[in-house]
Parts: sequence; C-alpha cells; structure tokens
Amino acid sequence: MNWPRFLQLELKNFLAGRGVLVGLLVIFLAGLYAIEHGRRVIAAQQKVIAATPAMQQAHLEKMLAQHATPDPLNTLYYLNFFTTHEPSSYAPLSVGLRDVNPFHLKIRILTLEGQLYDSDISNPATLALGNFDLAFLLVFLYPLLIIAFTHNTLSSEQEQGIWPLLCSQPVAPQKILAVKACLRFLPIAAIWLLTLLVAWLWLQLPLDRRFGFITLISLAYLLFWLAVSWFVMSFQRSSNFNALSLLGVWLTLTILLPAALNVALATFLPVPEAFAVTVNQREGYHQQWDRPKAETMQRFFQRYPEYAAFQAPTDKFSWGWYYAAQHLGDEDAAESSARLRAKLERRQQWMRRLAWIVPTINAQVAFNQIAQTELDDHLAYLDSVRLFHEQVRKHFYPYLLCNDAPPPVNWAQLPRHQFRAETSGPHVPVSVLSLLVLSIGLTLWARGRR
Amino acid sequence: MQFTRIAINEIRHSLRNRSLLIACVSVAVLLLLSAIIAQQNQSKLNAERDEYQQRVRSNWLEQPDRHPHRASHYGYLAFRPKAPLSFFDPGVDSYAGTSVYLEAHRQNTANFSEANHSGGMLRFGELSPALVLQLLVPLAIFFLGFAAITGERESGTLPMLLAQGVTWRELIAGKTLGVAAMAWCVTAPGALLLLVWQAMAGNDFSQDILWRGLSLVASYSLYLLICAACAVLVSAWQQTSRGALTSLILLWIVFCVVIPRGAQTLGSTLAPAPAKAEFDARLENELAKEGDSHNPNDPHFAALRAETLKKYNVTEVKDLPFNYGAFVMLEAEKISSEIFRRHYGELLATFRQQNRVSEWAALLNPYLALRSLSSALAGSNLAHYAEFQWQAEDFRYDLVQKLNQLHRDEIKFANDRVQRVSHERWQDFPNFTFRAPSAGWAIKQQGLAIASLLSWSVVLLILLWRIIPSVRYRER
Repeated sequence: MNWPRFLQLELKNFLAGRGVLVGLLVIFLAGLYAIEHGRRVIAAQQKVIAATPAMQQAHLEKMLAQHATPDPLNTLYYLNFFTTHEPSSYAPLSVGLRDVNPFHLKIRILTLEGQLYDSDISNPATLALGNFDLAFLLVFLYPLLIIAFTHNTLSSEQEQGIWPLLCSQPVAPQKILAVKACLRFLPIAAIWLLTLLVAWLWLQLPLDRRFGFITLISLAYLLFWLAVSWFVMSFQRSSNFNALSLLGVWLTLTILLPAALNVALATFLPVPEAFAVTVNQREGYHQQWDRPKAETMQRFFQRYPEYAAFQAPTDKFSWGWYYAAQHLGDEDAAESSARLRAKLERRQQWMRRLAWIVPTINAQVAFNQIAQTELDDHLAYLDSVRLFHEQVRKHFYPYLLCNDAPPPVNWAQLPRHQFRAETSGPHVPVSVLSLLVLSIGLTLWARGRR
Repeated sequence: MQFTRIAINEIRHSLRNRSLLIACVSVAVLLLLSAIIAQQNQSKLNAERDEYQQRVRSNWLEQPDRHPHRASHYGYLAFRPKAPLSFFDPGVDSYAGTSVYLEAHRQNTANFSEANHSGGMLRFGELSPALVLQLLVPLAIFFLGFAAITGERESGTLPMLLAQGVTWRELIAGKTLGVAAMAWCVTAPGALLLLVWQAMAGNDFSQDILWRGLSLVASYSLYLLICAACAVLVSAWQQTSRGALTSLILLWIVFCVVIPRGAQTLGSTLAPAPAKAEFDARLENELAKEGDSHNPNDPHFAALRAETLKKYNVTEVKDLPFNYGAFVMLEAEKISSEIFRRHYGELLATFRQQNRVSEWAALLNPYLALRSLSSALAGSNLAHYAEFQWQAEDFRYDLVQKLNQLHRDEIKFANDRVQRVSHERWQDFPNFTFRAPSAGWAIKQQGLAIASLLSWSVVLLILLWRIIPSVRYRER
C-alpha cells in the first residue's frame, strides 16, 4: 500500500469535507478571543496592583495630614495597609478563581479575622457565567470538535460502502482506521498548538517548564477524547449512534457530572466555620470593653510576653490597651479560623480526588494549578496577609505599648507587603496521569471488543 | 383532522423505538435527583444562616449596659437567606455574599459566597432542575424531533403524503404538534414528581411563591415549545436527517454554551466596574469633600457647629441641651450613608450595564431570555441580591441612627465616655429579617426576556405556518 499517497489523499479528502475548515477556523478565532479575554481580566487586576504603592503613599499622607495631631499614633487607627496578590504570568490562560477571590485587600492593625475575608466588588452574574479563557475553550469546546470530526471515521466508510473495499486491502483494516482517525485528529491538535503558540507570543509568556506542562496536559486531554471516540467507534454502529453517544459522554463529563459533584461537595462539606469566625472575632474583641483592662492585658501578654512591662492605664483609654483588645478578637477566632482553613483544604482534597476520575475536572484543575489561580493560591495569599499583619503590629507595638512617651514614628519606613507566589515550576498534580491511563485503557478495551 | 393524525403518528413512531420513553425516564430521574440534592443543600445553608442570625440576635440582647456608640461599633450581622425557590434555579446565589457586618461609619462588603469556598470545579456549574430543563431537555427535544420531516423525505413517504392530499401546512402543523406533545411528555412526569415531592415535604407555600412557580411553569412551557418548533423548522429546511441533527446540535452549542459566556465577558469588558480599591478611594474622597466628621478641621462640621450654637444661643457645645458629639454623628452618618448609596447605586448600574449585552442578546437567544427570567422568578438573580444589600444598609442605618439618638438624648456631653445606657434598651431594636420582594417586582424587570420568548414563539410560528410551506411548495 502506498502510505504517503494514501495519507495525502485522505487528509485532502477530509479537509474538503463540509464544515471542516470552517470548524477549524471558528475554534481558532475563539482561541484568539479567549486569549484576549484572559489577558484583559488579568491586565485589569495588574493595573490596580501597579497603582497600589502610589495609592498607599497618597493615603498615608492624607491620613497623617488629618489625624497626626495631637497624637501621631492616632493615625494608626485610620491607616490602611495595602496588600496585593500578583497574578502569575500564566494566569491569563486560566483565570480560575482569580475573579472570585479578592486580589487585593487593605488591612488595619485591628482584628484581622474581621478583615481577611472582605470580598471584592464584582458582578455575580459575570462570575456565575465564568470566563471565556483558553482553559474553558480546551475543556468544553475542543472535545466537541473532536467528536464532530472523528465520530464517523468508520461508520461513514460503512455507510458509503467503501469498508469492504478497505477490508480487502493487504493492510489490517484496523490500522487503516486508526490512521484515518489520527489524521482527523491532527488538524485539531495542530490548531490547538498554534493557539498556544499565539498565546505565548501575545502574552509574552516566559518559556519554562510550565509551557511544557500546559502543552502536554492539553494534548493528553485531547487524546483522551480521541480515545473516547475510538472506543465508541468500536461498537461499529451508525454515525448517528456514535454522534449521540459521544454527545452524551460530553454532556455527562462537562456538565452533568461536575455540576452534580459540586452540589454534593457543598452539601456534604458545608462551611459554617466561616460564620463562626466572624461572630467569634467580633465577640472576642468587643467584650474586652466590658472587662477590667488588666484582664485584657494579661491575656495579651500571655501571647506577647515581650511587652509585659507595659502598664495600661486602668481608668482611661489608651491605644496600647485598644490594640491588645483588638488582637484578642483574633485569638478568640483562631480556633474557628483554623477549622475553616482545614475545611477548605478538605474540599480541595476531595476535588483533587475527583479529578482522577473526571477528566474535565482534571484538566481544569491542572490548568488552574499551573496558572496558580486555584483556591490554594488564594489561601497562600491570605497566609501572607496574616504574616504581614503580624509584622505591622509588631512594628508598632513598641510605640503603642510603652509606658513613657513613645519615640517619633518614621512614617517613611513602614513594612511593606510582598507576595509573589509565582514559581516557574508550580506543583503539577499527579492526577493528570489519569488522562493518559484512561486514554490507553479505552483504546485497549476497544481493541478487545473487535 | 389530518394534522392530529400526523401528530399522533409522530408520537407513536417515537414510542415504538422507545426513544420517547428513555428521554422521559432520564429527564424525570435527573429532575428529581437534581431537585433533591439542591434542596438538601439549600435547607442546610438556610439552617446555618438562620442559626447564626439567631445567635447574633441573642448576643445583641445579652449585651451588658453599654455606651450607645459602643453598641453601634459592636454592630450587627445580617445573613442572606436563600430564596425558597433557589433550589430550582440557583442563579447567581453561589457567587453572592451571604453575610454582611453592619456597623457605624462604614458599609462592609457581603462576604463568604459559596464560590469563595470552592475550588475551580465550581466553574462547571451546579446541578439544578433549571439546568436540566434549560440545557438537557432542549437536546432531548432536538433528538426526538430532528427527523420529523427529513425522515419522511428520506424514506420516500413525503411525496406520498402530499399526494394523498395532505397539505404542507397540515403536515407542518401536525409535526409541530407532535414534537411539542413529546416535549410535554418528556417534561411533565418529572415536573409532576417534583411538585408531588414538594407537596409531600410539607413546605407551606405563600401566595407569592405560588405566583412565582406558576410563572416558571409558563416560561418553561413557552421555552420548550420554542425548542420543539425549532426542531421541526430545521427538519423541514434541511434535506437530510443528518444535516438536521447537525444543525440543531450546532445551534444548541452556540446558543447554550458559546454565546452566554461570550456575551457576558463582552459586557464586562464594555462596562468595566471599578476595583474595590478604586471604589473605596472614590468614597473616601467624596466623604472628605462633603464633610468628614472625624476630621476636626472639616468646614461642613465647623459650619454646623456655629449654626447650632447660634440657634441655641450658647457659646460652647457643652452648654447645648443635648449631646453635641452624638448630634454630629447623626449628621455624619446621614452624609456618609447618602454618599454610599449614591456610589453603590452607580456600581449596581454598572453591573446592570454589564448584563445588558446578555439581555439584548436574549432577543436573539431564547436560552438567555429564559435563563434571566427563570433566575428572576426563583429569586436568585442580581436584582434580588441587590435588594438584600439595600435592606441590610437600611437596617444598618436605622440601627446606628437610633443608637445615635439614644446617645444624643440620654448621654451627657461631659464625661461622655464613662456613661452607659441600660441593657434593657437593646430589646427596642429589631432583628434583621430579609423581606423577599414580590413576584410582580421580579417580573417587571424582565421585559426584554419576556419580549424575547414571546417574539420567538411568534416568529417561529410565522415561519412554520407561512414561509416554509410556500418555499417548499415551490421547490416541488
């Protein structure tokens, strides 16, 4: 058999088919839109982040102008410290949860647990529909193209009566069939790779391991769908049957199953701890006002013995006592806050387990993880804000918790929040291997069926 | 009547190959399953929120004697209950904050949306009866109806039918009726089970929920009719069943998957909302301009002071017959609340503008129209969420001002800070309860969506009744 000639003819024949080129063109254009959309969402966040230092400076000057006399430390009550969560350079590919969770938080040195969960202002309708980014395109729409192109690889031959002819060839018909299916798959993979290439140039992505992982994972995901199509083909049924079954699989994997698992997860792992944190920190702080000041200070000194020399006036207000009381709000919420954190981690854990068996979740989560736009990344940011909050408090405690007149504050040198989580080698979930395992499994099973 | 016979034949045909039965059973199972999971989730969340609302209430009542301004910093928490029908269509519920801390001087964000607690999986959506009816049932209808006309054409029975004196118009009417009846068969058992299950669960329905439910039934019926008409129309237009099915599936993908996300992302690009930092900075600047009571040099409050002193004919504020500090706070709260309301109103207007692309796209896309109408009726759309936030702000304002009045009238200016009011006074303050807006209020905002569904039905009927028959006649 003349393979080069066969391949050439076959490819030409396929590409000449109705709608094939249009389909490829449309998905390529959708890819461009997806890249641009992701870029815009992240660029808007970066703009705010870039403006933050100037905003912080202006805010500081304004607060000092208004509140620094007579006591400069009065300013601290009004002073916000800005923190930001910078996106990784790969975030535009998979916006993930970066639009759901706030990417900037300003904090005062009051009870932190009452400030840490402030949400961003965003349109819930936009959030509910989700982003049209490359991850969405890959996970939702590319499989449809694979289904459309490959579902009738065998059945169209049978329906047109060419199949017996092929069977009479000296080459095993299965081999021919496999080659034909791959041939139909290749243009899709090529367009996807081209899209990634465009994304790389357009977004000026650093070329490191992440790009390799993104490429490999997405190809594994596309291969999985080819394997599904191949498996359905092995039933040797009509084109209609194939198309319908594949559409059913698509519907189950992209909509029904993840949507059902979502609600199930929310029901079985509810997060009432969030409310507990809010209530506990509020009670913890406010009840200090109804207590003897010495009691508050004693509890505070248990946590921070280094300031135990401070003697808070018992008959009048002092900032030292005030910030100690604020901190006790955090102490009282610490337990529920830890439980909240643990619950969220458990939810993440379950999601990752489910990723092993649901390829769509697998691909989406892997993309989010490489782009560092998952819930974990937000939690890491919150941890950095916690540390920063403590840093600022400890910076000012010596001024606030001193018995004599405090030394003048150097307002030009304040702690600054730094959080750049971006790593060129983020944690890649092992579960992506299941994409390959499932693909191979389906192919082998299909072979066994013949 | 010829066309009823055609309709009955159509149904009989799908009964014979069991496709109708399969569709019917799977839709019923999915509807019931999704409703049960979603309702479980809803009652769990509502129980949580209710529990904490009560806890906040009892904490409020158990306050010791306190200075009123102390109490207004202690503040209150408002929890947003999930609407009774939101299990049917969760709308934006999972992306909207659930609790908001209400205190003096400032308006806090509503925090802890379900989305804040979820991993990336949430983006696949949530299973609900609405999802089944909006996305899956149309597909089922397309599968049942794609061959309505092309099937006759391919098996060669079409010329025979026409030769027997059946007119095109009768044929189309019959087929449309048949497919519509099948759409009904597919949905009705599941919907009935849903109702029976709801009735058995012993939930008592207010009249408003009844209206909402009835409107939902009407909207979904219209939507499924549109889907049925689409199937027949495409089937009449196409030459082969394969072509008809392909077109219908493409239509579904474009209408139900691509356009919704595309339109909303376009909308949010066209009308960008400010980031939180910008929004806060704007508020802060305006507040400084209009009058900042915490700023001792503020001109507005200096003028107020002079005016008040003159009015009561005294030279110092301590000689006023009321507590001047509280008097200033009353004024300051009024100013800051007005500014917040204006800015928050503008922000909501921006959100609505972002949604407008989808709303206008709904004229071309019945799925979007139904989506919008359905979440409005289920009480889970942006408007309902905004209503919660307004009510929370109203509650906050009333609480703080009432405390300020208490402060003004019952706390002496001298040695202000050491005084207290009795803990018995805390009972004079109400608990926060969300008053759900009426069905009429929700429907009134859905003009475009309703217009879309109605005009789609009309246009499709005209196409089926007038255009297709004449075009296809000529063709023969």
